[in-house]
Amino acid sequence: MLGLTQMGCSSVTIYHYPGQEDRPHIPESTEQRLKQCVEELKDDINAGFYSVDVKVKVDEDGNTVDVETKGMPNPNVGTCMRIALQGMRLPQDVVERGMLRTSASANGETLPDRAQIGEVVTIVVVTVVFTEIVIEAVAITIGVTVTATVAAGVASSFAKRRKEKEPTCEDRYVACMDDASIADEPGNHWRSSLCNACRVTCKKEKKWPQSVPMGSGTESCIYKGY
Amino acid sequence: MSQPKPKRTMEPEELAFVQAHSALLIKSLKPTRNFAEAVEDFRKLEAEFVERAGDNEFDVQETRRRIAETILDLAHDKHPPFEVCREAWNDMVRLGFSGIDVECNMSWFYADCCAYDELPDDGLMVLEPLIAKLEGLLEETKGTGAEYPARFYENELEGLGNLREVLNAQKRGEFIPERETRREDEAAPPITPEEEQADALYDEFSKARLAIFKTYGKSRSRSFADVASDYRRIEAEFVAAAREGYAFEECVLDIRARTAEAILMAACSLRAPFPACRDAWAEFVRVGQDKSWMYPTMYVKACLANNEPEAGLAVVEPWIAEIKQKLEEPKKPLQPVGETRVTLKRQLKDLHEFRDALLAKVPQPG
Repeated sequence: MLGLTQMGCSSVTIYHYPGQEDRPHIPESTEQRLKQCVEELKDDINAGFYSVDVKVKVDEDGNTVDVETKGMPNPNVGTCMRIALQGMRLPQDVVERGMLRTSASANGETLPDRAQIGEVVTIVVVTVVFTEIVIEAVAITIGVTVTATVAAGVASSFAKRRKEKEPTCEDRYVACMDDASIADEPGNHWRSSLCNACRVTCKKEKKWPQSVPMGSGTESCIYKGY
Repeated sequence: MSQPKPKRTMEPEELAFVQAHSALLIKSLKPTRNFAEAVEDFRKLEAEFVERAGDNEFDVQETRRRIAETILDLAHDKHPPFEVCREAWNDMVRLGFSGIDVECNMSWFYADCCAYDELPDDGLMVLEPLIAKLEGLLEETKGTGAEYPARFYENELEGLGNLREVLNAQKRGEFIPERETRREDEAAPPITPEEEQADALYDEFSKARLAIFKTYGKSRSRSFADVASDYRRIEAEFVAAAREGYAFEECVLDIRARTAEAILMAACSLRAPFPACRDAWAEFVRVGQDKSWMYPTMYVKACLANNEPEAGLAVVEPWIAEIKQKLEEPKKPLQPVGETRVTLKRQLKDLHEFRDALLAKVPQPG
């Protein structure tokens, strides 16, 4: 393994594995964040070679929606790298190039007409394999291979089957009603509360609102606990 | 909405209803409580407070309306068969709406139920006349110069209009990836045992975290250092309990994110020394997941209160740029559920105020 495209000059170095010039690179900002993980946590990593396999799911805009990793040196490095990869956004040209390649796939097969098959909801699924990156510190070598699946339709159903994590509108509402600064504030109508008005708007906008319409203006949904 | 109302405080009987309603709502929203059980609880509450209202017709009517609104809200949340949602909507229509805001909210819930069951005609039947009504009301506000209720009408027109586009797309037989539907939910693969265990671990962590919040949420009587130490302790405890596998890895990320969010909240609300706020913010930026305006707002306010304008501007300036970019993006044919452009414009206005306040604190040269 020879160092090409070496980046950075600290005790930790990062480079692209040679011989994979036909593959795209993950964004440089993500590479730097992965490198930072090793820089920060290298003292806790046992000496040796690690082959880390990362599978990310991205939406059609290139945003990462899920990350799976295998072969991490230890859980803390795994957590750090997963955070770095969760924030990754693939360049649109990489996503589009992948889509194009799939639609012109072998045997001239085209996508089925959805009208005839009714229940099938997946539109396009493509896989992009990136150039392996190698991160080296003293006596530690970590090879990271990232494979991205671009899936329209699949990403949302994948996320959906798991329970919605906090902070949901309900969680905010519970905290709102538990906060002395706002819990007893009336809503816009008799026998209604401001916290509930904020919760209803939260359900519609998928975010706890800054304010809700009230009387001749708006009332703030901010409570001191937040 | 059209009648300005002075700020009021709740009367004891009204407060008693709101508190009982809230306790029941929190119980009912738990996944372990099904729709039928929740409705039974709310019907009992309705009977109790209608009786307490006696001959006061207004009280009786408004109590019945609040209960009907809650039942439709729960039908939207818990996805019972569509007919149940339709019945809840019909009940709401029979009782009448207390205001245009309630009419908009309840119509949105019902039309969203229709979209979930892919019954676009039923949803459009409710949305079309409401949108026409709102357009008329907005027209009436022109020339008055008053910001409200015009902003309210614009906001609702945008939100309800987006939902109408979804229903129209369903009518054309289009598939909308980001929309939840009953068909997709029923076809989704079952949760694996590992995912279930990871969810259970997360639930326990959430309870522990909420218990810590309750130790200072109302009283604000604890020190930030103590609260942060408690949060760190449970974070370490639950991260250590996570096993291997992607579901647990995801759970650990969530635990770390919630802890960072909780510590930032504690730092800001307990008036921690600014270096502690800044560290909490840095950790939030690194591992936090919450994308709402709340946490950045809290931090910017802490910067203002601590006379640290540069730190605040470092957050506000890119935030302004981000919102401006969102506002410049052309409207998509099918807009994802989220903040409306009216909301974004209001946020931009607030952010400009923050920026001005921060700039006023920047020391002038010389």
